[in-house]
Amino acid sequence: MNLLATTPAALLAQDGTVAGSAAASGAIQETGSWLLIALPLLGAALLLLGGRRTNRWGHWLGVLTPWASFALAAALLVSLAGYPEGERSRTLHLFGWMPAGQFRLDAGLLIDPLSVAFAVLVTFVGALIHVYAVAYMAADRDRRRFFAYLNFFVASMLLLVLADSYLLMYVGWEGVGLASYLLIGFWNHNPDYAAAAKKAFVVNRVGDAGLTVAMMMMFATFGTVSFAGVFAAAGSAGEGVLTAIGLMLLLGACGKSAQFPLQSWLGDAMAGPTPVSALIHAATMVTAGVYLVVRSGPIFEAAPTAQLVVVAVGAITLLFGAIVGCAKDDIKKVLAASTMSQIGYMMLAAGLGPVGYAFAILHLLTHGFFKAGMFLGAGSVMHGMGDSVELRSYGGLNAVMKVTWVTFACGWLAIIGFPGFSGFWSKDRIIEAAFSADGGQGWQPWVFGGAALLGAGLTAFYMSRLFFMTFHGTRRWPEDAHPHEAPRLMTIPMVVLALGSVGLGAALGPTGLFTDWMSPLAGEHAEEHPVLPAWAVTTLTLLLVVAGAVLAHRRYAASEVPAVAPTGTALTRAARRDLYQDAVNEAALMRPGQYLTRLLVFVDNRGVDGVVRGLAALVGGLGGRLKYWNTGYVRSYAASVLVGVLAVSGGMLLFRI
Amino acid sequence: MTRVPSVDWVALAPVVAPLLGVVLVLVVDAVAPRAARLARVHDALAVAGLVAAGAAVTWLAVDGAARSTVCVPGGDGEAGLVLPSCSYVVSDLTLTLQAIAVVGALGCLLLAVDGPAAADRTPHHVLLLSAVAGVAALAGARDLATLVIALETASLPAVGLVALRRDAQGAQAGITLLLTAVASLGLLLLGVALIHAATGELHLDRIATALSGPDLSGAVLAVAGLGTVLGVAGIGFKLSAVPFHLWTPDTYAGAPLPIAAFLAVVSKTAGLAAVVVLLALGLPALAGSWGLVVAVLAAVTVTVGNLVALRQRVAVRLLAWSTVAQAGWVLLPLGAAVDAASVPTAVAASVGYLVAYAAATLAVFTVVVLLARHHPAGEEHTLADYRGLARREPVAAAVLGFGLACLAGLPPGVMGLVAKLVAVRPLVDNGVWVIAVIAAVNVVLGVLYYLRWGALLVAAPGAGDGAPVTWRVRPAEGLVLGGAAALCVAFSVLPQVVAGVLPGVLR
Repeated sequence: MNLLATTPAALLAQDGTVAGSAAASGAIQETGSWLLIALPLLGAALLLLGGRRTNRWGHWLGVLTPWASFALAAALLVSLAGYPEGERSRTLHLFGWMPAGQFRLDAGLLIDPLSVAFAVLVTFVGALIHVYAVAYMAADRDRRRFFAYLNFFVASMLLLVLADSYLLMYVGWEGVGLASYLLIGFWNHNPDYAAAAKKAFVVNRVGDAGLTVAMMMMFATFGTVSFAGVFAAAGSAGEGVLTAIGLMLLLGACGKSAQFPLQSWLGDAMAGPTPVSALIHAATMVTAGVYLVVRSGPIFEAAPTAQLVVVAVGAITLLFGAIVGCAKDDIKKVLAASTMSQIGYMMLAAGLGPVGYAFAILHLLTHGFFKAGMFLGAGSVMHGMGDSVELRSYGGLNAVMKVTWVTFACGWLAIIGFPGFSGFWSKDRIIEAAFSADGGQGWQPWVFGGAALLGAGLTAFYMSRLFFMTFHGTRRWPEDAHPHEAPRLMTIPMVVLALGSVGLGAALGPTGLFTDWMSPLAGEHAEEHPVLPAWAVTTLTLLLVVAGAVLAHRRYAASEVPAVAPTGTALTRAARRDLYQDAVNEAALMRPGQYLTRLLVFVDNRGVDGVVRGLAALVGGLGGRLKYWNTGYVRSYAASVLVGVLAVSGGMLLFRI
Repeated sequence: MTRVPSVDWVALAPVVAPLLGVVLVLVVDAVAPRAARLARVHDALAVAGLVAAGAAVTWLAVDGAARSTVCVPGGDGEAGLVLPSCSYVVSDLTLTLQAIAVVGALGCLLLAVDGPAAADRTPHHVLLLSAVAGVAALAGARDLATLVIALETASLPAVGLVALRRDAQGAQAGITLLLTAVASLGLLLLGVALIHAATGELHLDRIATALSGPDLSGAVLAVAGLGTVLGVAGIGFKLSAVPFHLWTPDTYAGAPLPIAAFLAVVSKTAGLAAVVVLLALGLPALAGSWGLVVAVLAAVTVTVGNLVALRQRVAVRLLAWSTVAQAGWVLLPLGAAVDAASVPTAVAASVGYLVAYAAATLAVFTVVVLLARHHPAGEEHTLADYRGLARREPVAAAVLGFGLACLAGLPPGVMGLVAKLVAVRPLVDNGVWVIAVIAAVNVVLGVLYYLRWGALLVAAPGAGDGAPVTWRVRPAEGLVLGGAAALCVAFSVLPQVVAGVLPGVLR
């Protein structure tokens, strides 16, 4: 009986098994991996549906679920490491999602080194930030709702990285977009914040349209949207199609990861509460674009033009973000610009092909730690300074906020690439890899390597500027400010993240642990041919970093910082206004769009509406006439039946027999 | 030599169970007439009869064995070997239709127990169960005589149910239904007689064989064709296909609402069962002829139903016309049949649409029943009375909104969307483009009035409304509301149930 066999229980009973041969030992972790997503989702559902009843304990439930997910992710990591290298890519079939004719799509999870690395990062950093938010949001009336959204975000992000098809990933992709929108506008009683949320949403839609088009093209070309199916068939398609798909995927990645030219929303997104900025707009969601490019490696590898565009976008964004970061006086906006710039590094590495994948993801992990740590530090500073975000109103905070100072210093040293700290091991390798772009020939290694190198110097300058203006120099506090250290619940996550900023890179990078872990994904790649030897790149990088840091120290720690920003050069003024990106968007997109809508409204009013009204009148009139067919006399009804019979048999005689 | 054919009572259980219920209700009534305290016993017996029928359907479906009963033996005929033929066959088609009828009837019964049935428990339950038994028999009927008898068993009790209201309007509605039913019966009998005359057979499978022979004279085909047309016309009234639909709005408005729901769900199932059994099982060889007739009937039905529904203001009348339009949708896939090979997909699409339609209609009717009970205008209440319902009764409004979305085929009513796609698919596949385009236009017309109703639910309450009455939903009604909503949601989450309700084999 088909009717009964299609019940969900039956479907699960048939298909709920792990694909692969050795399903015995790690099977429990894998078959249970859907819990990873389900737990935070359940948390979000309970908190949202439970309403005010859960106000008292809701945030603790919200903290519990990501920790549980982290435990599962860690178990998954261990079980995956137990397999021989060739068998580390495993799929878990969940259920038949959309069986429609020849189109058959199953919902399933792909558990491989890349997705598990991501899952561990998301759950661990996410769980820490949940803890931090308990204290940070303590005074907020809507703390429960905040945790519900955060839990929903964690679930969506895990779905994004664990999905085994583009379509299922898209569900997570839109889920994180929704969570981001809800959380940026969490304090939506402030119209500016609500506008920021809307901006993020709209810009992301542009990117998402790219991703949808990419999926449609995949389906038209390959007949499937599952990772396995698309990658297996990628070699057979023409390069033109693959380039188009790659560019559309890149558009999606640019929207989500705030890459040029869709970068304008990230700065405004800092309107959200700081834990949100740390989790979503620094450590995890914004790196989804990098994940997408690395995951779609087989497509990009077969489309060199698309790859080149990825590298170019990365290079442009890393410089763009760094320049903007140098000029901003808002602590969170500097960090946002820096995020943009660092993701530019990751994009650049991801665009280099298998050579760069491991470094892109390694930098993604280390960045997740040190940037989240610094955001939490910024939150702690804001907490102590009465919610002020003005760098120019800080100064000399090292004496009163010891823990924040030390943990922030760890993140600072990590991001500028101080030898031994996390960022050194990941970013330095990306710069080296950039110098071997395009097989180490032609103009590409010099341009992209140079951009990455210059970016390192700029990074050192603006991050040192941020650090010194906040913690050193003269105290420029407002009179009513009483800075104090944050409570334990906030400092402990900061300390943990600081430990990661110090040691994670050294643990994973030089030991070769991470490149080995990622090797199934990166595959065998050709020998690198950098145009500059590695020692020269490292030396140059260090020189620029030291120069940037020293310059920042002289200007912002050793000398007086004016309380009101000086006018500055034309470049500074442009950078303060995000290099006029909003003005460009307005002139190039918004205005023409407005004119187009006005034109359409005119055509609609005069042309389309006339036709529609006419049709409506016709339809309504017909209905009105037909109504009178029902006279209420049964005899006329019977007559109608007989007339109908005559008409039908007459018609049949005429046409068929 | 004549033998009494052996009877497989297990196969017949879905037919027999409601009839046992009828007998028990009558016995209780005979033993203790007018014993008010036995009211619940009547209700329990009626419900038990339907539940038993449902259990029998489920058991037969799970068992999966091919059963048939009341058979005549085969043998060596003049034209070679003749297979045995049966009057009643248990197949996927039989069980699916029985399931729809039994579940729908159970919903209507639960809606009625404390409403219109409260005054006349015995007649109400007896009539309702008899009609269900008729539909169940119809779904399994595989010869012309059984078909006619079963169809009448399904139809005539409905007249009694409609007339239960015992006022002028109820009587008028009953008379309308009765006269139309009798006129249709005449047509059906004539049609069946012509088919029998053309082929000399009573069993549908033998008729199918006889008509698919290579050397058929034109006269035989003409007689069989005329019989087909008359048969379709006779059954068309059950489905309220235009132009056999005129009884529908008067009867729906005159009948108690749960009975109208019964007509909308169970009677429509009976109509489709009869059409499918007669056309798809008995006359697939003539598909080229009746396909076009059904296609035109369906297209006209959908269009007329939608156009008139656009102008309705009274909720019940709108629903009546909406069921006319939906009946057209149910018939539509059958219109795509161009030859015997294309019949099974068409039938599967029709039955799939019926599943979605029945679930959504039951959900909508439940809310209309509830509103009518709490509104001074009663069953005459208009669409305007739904204004702002979402604020007063969020659950009921959500169910109504979802049901309307399903009927319109709009997300989140994925069930209705898939059902419409499935219904149009055979038309497109077989190149019946004109009808497919008409269907597409009608989707828009349908969306128009369903959406207008749905939008009223969330509109701000009007100024002139008096103090709203708080609804007191009886447990039985709550059960139907929840059950119908659950079905709609389940089919929307798993639309493949609607899309693949019948496998390819048609028995």
